[in-house]
Amino acid sequence: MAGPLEGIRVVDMGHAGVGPYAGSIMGQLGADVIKIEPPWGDIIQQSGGRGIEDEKRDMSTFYIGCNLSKRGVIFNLKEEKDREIYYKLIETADVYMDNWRADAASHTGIDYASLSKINPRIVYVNSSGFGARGPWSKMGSYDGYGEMFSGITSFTGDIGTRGEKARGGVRIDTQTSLCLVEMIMSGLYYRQITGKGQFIQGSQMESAVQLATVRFAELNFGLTPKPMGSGHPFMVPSRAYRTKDDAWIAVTAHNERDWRNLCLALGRSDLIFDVRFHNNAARVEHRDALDAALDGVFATRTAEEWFEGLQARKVPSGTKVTHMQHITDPHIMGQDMLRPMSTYWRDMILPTLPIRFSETPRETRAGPRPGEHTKEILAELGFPPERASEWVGPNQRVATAQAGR
Amino acid sequence: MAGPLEGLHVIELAEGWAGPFCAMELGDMGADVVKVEPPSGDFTRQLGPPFPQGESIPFLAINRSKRGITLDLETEQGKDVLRRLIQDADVLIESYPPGEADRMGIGYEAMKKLNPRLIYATVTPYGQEGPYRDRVGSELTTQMVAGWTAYFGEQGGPPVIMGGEQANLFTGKYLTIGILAALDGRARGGKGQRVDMSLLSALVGQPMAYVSDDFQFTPEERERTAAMRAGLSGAGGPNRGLATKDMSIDFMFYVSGYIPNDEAWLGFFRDIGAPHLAEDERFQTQPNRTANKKEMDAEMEKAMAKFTVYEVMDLCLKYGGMASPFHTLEAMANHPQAQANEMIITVNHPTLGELKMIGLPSWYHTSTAKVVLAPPTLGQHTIEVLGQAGLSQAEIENLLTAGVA
Repeated sequence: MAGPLEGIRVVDMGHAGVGPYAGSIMGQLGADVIKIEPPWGDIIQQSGGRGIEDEKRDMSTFYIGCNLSKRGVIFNLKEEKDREIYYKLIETADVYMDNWRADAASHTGIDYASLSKINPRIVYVNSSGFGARGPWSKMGSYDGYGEMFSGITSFTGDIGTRGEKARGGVRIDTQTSLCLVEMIMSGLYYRQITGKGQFIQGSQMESAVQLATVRFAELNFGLTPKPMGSGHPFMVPSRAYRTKDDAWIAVTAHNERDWRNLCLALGRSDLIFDVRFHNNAARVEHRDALDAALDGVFATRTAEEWFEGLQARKVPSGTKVTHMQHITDPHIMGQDMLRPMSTYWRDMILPTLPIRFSETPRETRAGPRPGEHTKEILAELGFPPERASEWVGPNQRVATAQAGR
Repeated sequence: MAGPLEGLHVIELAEGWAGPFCAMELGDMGADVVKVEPPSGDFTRQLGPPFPQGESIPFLAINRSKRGITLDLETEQGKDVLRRLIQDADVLIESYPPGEADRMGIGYEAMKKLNPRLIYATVTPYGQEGPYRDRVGSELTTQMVAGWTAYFGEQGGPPVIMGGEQANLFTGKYLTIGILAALDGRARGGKGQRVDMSLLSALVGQPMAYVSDDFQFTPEERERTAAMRAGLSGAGGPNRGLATKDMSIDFMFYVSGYIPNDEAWLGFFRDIGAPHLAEDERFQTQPNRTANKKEMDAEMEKAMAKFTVYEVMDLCLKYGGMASPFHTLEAMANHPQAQANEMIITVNHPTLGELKMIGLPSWYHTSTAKVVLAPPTLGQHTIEVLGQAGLSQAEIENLLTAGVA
């Protein structure tokens, strides 16, 4: 078996980050994922890394990295001739997924009402910007917008600030992809039991809001979550401390055993017997006194020295690592968290699906060029190769947009 | 209406956030989840103050949609009870250090013999294998080691992490997907299997746009892309966009072109009471706005001060643009868009009364589960669950007397 989802076919209408990564997860889980693009391609083909002038580089890292383990097909769904083939494909599919505006699919005749007539067992999942219901349902979203809307920026940041959003990452897109996959998977489970397909909708906004799950609970008790730097509102110590070499060591005491081992590793068993620190609740109340004591202790050795001693005593601890260090790290590379892959642009190092299965290992492979498999899919569906639409690239999209507006 | 996972039986042995969050999601989707805690309780029950009615806020946040029992799994009697529970279970979730469950005699190999269809899911900080598998870690140390502190805080300043246990939430989310995929494989002729997730891989495994770029580039290329990124509006970090009368707002669109076209942008200028910008060549086209970003920021800063954030958002909607306010959690919860999509739900706690919580980020058109179970008090459902598992009153009494349950 190649991945637990072997035998499941997914029609992936994703674009930008959210849809493509969701499809990539489905593909790495073993499903036959068919990525559909219009002739002008997915908008992230050109995004990211724009400082690089490399004539061979017609696809972004983002595009390549979010489209692993798929087949690529070009369809122009505005045209009747391609819609005919598309509907034939839908007959063979288990899953339809997109991340367009909630009402967008109806414009090209691929909404749930239309597709479920062709294939009533289809699990149809849509993930929009702000959700299918409500006054902002027609507004689009990118990563950072969901992050700001959700309120999670209000409890992330340095102490005393109003909080901040992430610099340079797209974790909200990732979270939205994971929610999309979760909707697909639960829909497939429901279909296994009942035999029925269904329509499921989510959004970037809802997905981002879910990341507030833990700290939102405080609102019930009159508290307002605030940024804590590297600290924790209810667990002390859990913070990064500056070391002798001007680096940082992070430690967390999840429980009293961790706390006592921490004191032993620091050579400060006196703290164990200090009534101000005798349990977590006491340490939360005397947080400043404890931090002052620990600041002094940690300043006497290097981060590496502390790290060894803390791990030897089983105290949760870590030093600051940069992502560029990961690609030479024996654990990370040995565990295949990042994988060197040969792609049509360069030899690349790409993140792989982090879930491990004992019986059905992941099926991670480099993704297709846009439309690489159009003729192959046409043949499978019984259409001649001359019916294939070709990829024309983003310039065509620009030309179309200028002519149209 | 029943949730999509109606009929699924889950046993949760996990503590902390990742495993409990995964189990809560499965419960939200309709699964019957039994959380098994040691007699002293999940360690998160000790996190506080405050402790409203003796409960911990972090525990409440992440343990609804389950029933809770206590069981001392260090004792033979306790293990016997678990072995009975496992026979009817589809999924077991644990968060022991690698090798610990095997040592206790309740590891995958032992459980598989009792129930070959079982999906056995694990969460660890670093994974079940590899040179760092025995390292101990936490939410905080994972973010440090995964390199994610690069996304927050002042560059060169103290480490800042994303709050609210988000590394754990991502881990739980991937685990949910792994479990559902394994269940789907099982339903289509496969067997039970083991599914493993680590906190570290949940962060390293994300195809974050810029990080992935960095892996592919030469040092010289990286320098150029870093300079490009620094010039992006809304690049994150302590910068919080533009202030309006009430909240601050962030647009990426006047640099990145996410408002559909120049004409719409000129209309927007007029509506914000700054028609002179529409007349100014520097702001009339996308390339010019990008080239004159500083002046643009200054002009926008002046204009925004006259509006509330939602007035500006209405204009964005009118012109098909995108932006978002920097919400607090309270502002998010009060927003009609969050409410229309049922992101805020209410559960009824046995001692605390009504609790507001973040709901599931999905809308199942035919199988939405209604969340009815509040987070359990310690051992709240012990008698009920053991009775259902077929234990006699005398057997349960023995367990209680011995302090095993």
